[in-house]
Amino acid sequence: MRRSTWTISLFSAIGLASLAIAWWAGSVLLGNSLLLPTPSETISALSGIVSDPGFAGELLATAYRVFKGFALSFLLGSAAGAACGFSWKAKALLSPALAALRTVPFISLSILAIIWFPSGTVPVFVAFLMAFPIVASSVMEGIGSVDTDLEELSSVYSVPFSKRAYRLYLPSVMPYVVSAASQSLGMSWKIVVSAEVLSMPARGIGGRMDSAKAFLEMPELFAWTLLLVALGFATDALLEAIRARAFGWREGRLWQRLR
Amino acid sequence: MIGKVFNMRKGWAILALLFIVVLQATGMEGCKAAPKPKVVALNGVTGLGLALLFESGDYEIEVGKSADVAVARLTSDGAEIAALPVSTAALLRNKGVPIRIAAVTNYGSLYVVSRAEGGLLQSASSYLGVPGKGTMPDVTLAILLAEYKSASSGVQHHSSPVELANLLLAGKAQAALLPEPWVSQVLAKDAGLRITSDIQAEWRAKFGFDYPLSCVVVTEKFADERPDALKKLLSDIEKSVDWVKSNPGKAAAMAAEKLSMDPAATEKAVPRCNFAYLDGPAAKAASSQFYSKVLQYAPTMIGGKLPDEAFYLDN
Repeated sequence: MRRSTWTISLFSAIGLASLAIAWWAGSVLLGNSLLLPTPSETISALSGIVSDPGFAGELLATAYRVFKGFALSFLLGSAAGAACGFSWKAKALLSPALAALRTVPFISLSILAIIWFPSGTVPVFVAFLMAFPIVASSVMEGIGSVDTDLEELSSVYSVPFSKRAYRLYLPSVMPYVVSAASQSLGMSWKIVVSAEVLSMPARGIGGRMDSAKAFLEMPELFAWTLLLVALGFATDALLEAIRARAFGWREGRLWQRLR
Repeated sequence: MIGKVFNMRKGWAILALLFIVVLQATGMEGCKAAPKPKVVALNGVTGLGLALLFESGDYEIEVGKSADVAVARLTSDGAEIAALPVSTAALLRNKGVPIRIAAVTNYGSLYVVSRAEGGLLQSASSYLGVPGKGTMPDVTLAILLAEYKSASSGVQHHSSPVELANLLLAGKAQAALLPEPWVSQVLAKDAGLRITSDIQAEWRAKFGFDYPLSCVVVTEKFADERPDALKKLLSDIEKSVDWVKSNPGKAAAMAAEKLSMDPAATEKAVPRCNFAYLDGPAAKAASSQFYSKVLQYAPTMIGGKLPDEAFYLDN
């Protein structure tokens, strides 16, 4: 049975409200803003942060790093995933590296990167390496999901590769690519900010969070966290819009379009 | 249905068990008579001054790597006593943590270590690594640069002295403002590095007094309810500071064991650590003089105001 969107929104609203109430009750019970600031303290810290003249610079510095890390992992990860999907040699060659990257702890990469690179490059590098295997295996899986009958059919009828790529592979792989993009983007935000806390570049949200921690401005720390959650939601919504289009594209009869 | 009931029972049993464990962990300790005072000591020079306390067995000591640990313990009754940088003590007080400063344990021990020529100001305008925000190196540097009206464009923060020392040794940082014993440690590892600026001398030349670096704070509850324990604590600290000053070798061996500090470097560092024991009015004079400079030049680092009178322990 299909639930109406109205009922779903109502329940989401109740969920959100209970989160807020739990936060508020917790902060009142503890009565110590060093341990858990109240929602109102956090909101006023948030307005202080946003109205600061340096705010845009900090935000853009981090967003730019997220974009760079995401773009690198997405492009190179897609290329590596495609190579693995089409060739067993490439797959065998790359799988040890992918497996290693999937399990390597974030902190190991960060510690090494801090010694290797300037502080502003560290978050980009770490985000790239953490997201790369996710994108690569997702794209690889997408290519594996292509209908083999259709593949055979198109080779029997000698459909040119350019047409096959556009009409057969891309529509099948697209949902995987979009889900990989969404995952790696969400991850990039978290990783970039965490790495910024460790590498301390001159500008960036991670640096501001570290200062807030150092000077015990806990409401500010919470405010930055809220802001990051909002930013993550915003970029995810953007991808969701793209995903909706991709799914539309995928539907319909593939073979008819191949002809 | 039966399965569900069983699971529910299991759930309740686990909850009850958890509850008992929590009760045990939190409630039982209060039942003991006169428990050992719990101390949080930061590693580095701040903890080094308390070396003798580790051996006495009269204290339960936890070693923290950064001030966060001390904040967590002092706010949650996890410790009554903490050895902290002087700036952190005031910041905690101003943020509502009920602590009092009991004693100062050493004056400054901060130096600029570099491969290149040029003093503090030159490094600060090209490249000068600082370990952490709101730390004593960060605070004193901000004040000195503001007083000199000098450029701070080369000042680069790093997350810890260990990391900064590694970058310096790897040649990735040209100059670093480090506290002892890391100064001695990097000097011993690389003959190309030299001390190019003595922050204590810079400070004295500018302001005409010596700034204190480490202190011991106690919670108000401890000071009010256990005056005898407090008296013993102060005399133990005084003994410890004197002992460390006159026995660098033994103190270094203890630091290696308890604070995971490099013994050879620590032994060399002791004379440069400027250990001194101050309490009562002397501790108040030394720290309040310093706080007024912080308030003037870098107020956020102590929470935007001077600590109130009750912060200073009267004895």
